[in-house]
Amino acid sequence: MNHRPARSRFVCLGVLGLCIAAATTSAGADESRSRLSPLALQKHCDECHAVDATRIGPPFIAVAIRHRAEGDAAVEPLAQKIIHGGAGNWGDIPMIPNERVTVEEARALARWILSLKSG
Amino acid sequence: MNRPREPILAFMVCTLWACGWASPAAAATGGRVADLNNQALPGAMVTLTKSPQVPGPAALTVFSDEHGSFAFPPTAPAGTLSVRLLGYKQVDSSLPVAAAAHATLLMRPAANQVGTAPASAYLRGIARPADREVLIGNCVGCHQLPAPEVRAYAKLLDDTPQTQTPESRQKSWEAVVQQMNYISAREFSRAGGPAPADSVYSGGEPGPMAKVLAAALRGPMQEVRGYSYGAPLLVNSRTLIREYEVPEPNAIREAVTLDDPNSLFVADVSSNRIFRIDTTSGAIRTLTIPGPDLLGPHTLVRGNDGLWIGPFFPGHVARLEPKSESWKLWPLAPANGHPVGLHDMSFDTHHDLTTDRQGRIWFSDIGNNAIGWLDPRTGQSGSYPIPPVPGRVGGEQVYGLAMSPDHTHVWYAQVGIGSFGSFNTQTLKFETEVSLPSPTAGPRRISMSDDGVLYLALYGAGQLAAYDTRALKMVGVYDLPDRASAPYSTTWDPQRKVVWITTSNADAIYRFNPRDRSFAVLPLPRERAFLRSVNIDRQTGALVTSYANIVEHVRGPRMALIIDLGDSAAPAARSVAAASDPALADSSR
Repeated sequence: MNHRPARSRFVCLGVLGLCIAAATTSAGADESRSRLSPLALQKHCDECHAVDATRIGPPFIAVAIRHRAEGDAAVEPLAQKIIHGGAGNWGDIPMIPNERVTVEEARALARWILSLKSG
Repeated sequence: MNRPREPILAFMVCTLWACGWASPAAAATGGRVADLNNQALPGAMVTLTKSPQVPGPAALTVFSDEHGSFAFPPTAPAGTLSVRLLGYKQVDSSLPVAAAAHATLLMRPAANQVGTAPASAYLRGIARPADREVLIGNCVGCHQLPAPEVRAYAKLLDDTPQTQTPESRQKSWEAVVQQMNYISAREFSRAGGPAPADSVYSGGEPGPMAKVLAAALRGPMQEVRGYSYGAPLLVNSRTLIREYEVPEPNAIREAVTLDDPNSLFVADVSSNRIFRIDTTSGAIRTLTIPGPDLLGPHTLVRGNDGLWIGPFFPGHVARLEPKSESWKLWPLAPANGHPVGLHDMSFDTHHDLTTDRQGRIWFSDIGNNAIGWLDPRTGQSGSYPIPPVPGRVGGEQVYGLAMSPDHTHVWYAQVGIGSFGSFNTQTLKFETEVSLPSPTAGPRRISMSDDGVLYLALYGAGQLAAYDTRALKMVGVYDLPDRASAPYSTTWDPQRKVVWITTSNADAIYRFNPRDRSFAVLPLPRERAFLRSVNIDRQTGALVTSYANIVEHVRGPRMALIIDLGDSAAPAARSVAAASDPALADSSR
């Protein structure tokens, strides 16, 4: 369907009923999402992470910088963190578990994160 | 009430039997539910999930009788049997069966009711009612709380050394609230709306919500014990629940039947689609609301001239004529430049769309906290802002709406501030305002009885309020069997003279009998049975509702349901001809 572009305001009939949000705040979020890998988007990593900005969790580029020297040895611990969550590496707020991410998907995500370069 | 009429399939089964493909004794799939001591287990929900590619509902559910026996209709196909019974676990998690098979389903007691008790069971321990109301008001609008993922996170916090202080737990829940805000913002922009980056969907900063979450979601969230439905079950061995799926992705919202009980209409709020399901075959037709604007079908109201559709995105109201499947759209005039967010439309005591004496449809305008009107004959529309309620300014959200039996007043609910009131459609003045004791009590969807009693679902408070709109006095406020059930809507049943109350958090529908002020429970077979409105089929008296989990990540079902209660009070048919609304009839021409 081709719909007319979004109105400047919209109404959410959800929680208590109403949420009016400004359209102008979307550009930053979409730009941030565009830098994520398709798998990272598919697995909704953007809900807590951006590539180079701190959101709820650390920026992916920071994870890459910290662990890059470990080479392939970093893949498995990162994959397990993605699946099981937990705290300790980046502050005291535990990352949520992602039980729907398979081990292979988690490893692929870890490799993508480790491949990120600054700038 | 009889089983749903399915003459074609019944004929086919008879034909198969005549050809020797089935025996009369094995005409229906059935069996018995028992424990490991072979004691009968009554009231168990036995669900037959059909095999793929087989026509019909995605699943059928019946209930075992006092002997533990259950039977599906003769038309039931092959599939897989599973059982849900509070406090028991099935020995085999599922059992494949052929059509017309006889099965013995064995259960063993399970003190830990995880998987059978609803989410509301975990909220019983909240000390302060206000905390429960805030949690339900802010979280359960989109998903059950605590969902299994939330309980898993609570356990993670228990197990993590860094989150053993109240401050660190609160910060952790704050992160979750932020995540949910982001998810909801994306969800509601998926179909073309804007995507605000970090908007706060709950209408406030995450901190206060996180504080309540941190206090409420403590302890052994991996187990729940001693939950009971809190009222007698209203089911019997003839009760039949039919569940229908539609193609994914979807965001099912509401479901309703019109004059044909075999034609089920389902709204997909994330698109411009209405699904039309043949309830016998399960065949689905997708009907697209025409035009360039995204409406997002949300509220479905049965009209005498077709299906009326209130949209998620503001600005329009639509009507589908079911025979020709033709559409008519009415743009709604902005209120002081602001688009109109129609939520509920004026319906009568039969839950059918109705007009005032001047032929105007009335609606709640959630976008402007106003009462709006539309004359479908002329297309003219307008609105009247609801006056502020002293002491409760801020957070007002008009929600439910119902017409008085004499068609002179519309009654409305303001969910954000615990208030409801009336508007005189003749003088065009607001008249009565009633403030509930708690501003976070609710109410959400409301309905009107034949004798002018307004029934209000107090979402946060877990109560039902009954207000006499003629005497202008409260009849009573009644605790629901489960105060954390998040009652979303009420529907007056004019044939049975009872009120049906859907819940968002208790996997159940409640029935309230005004004669003796008693409640009964209709349990639902599926976890995360997140309900919205319920309608009553005109011909059969069946309940029509939906599991309306709307956020993409919420893993609960998205299905439409038809519930044949199996009671003896077969409602008299109320066809188009039985009701008369000249204005609506005119508008269809």
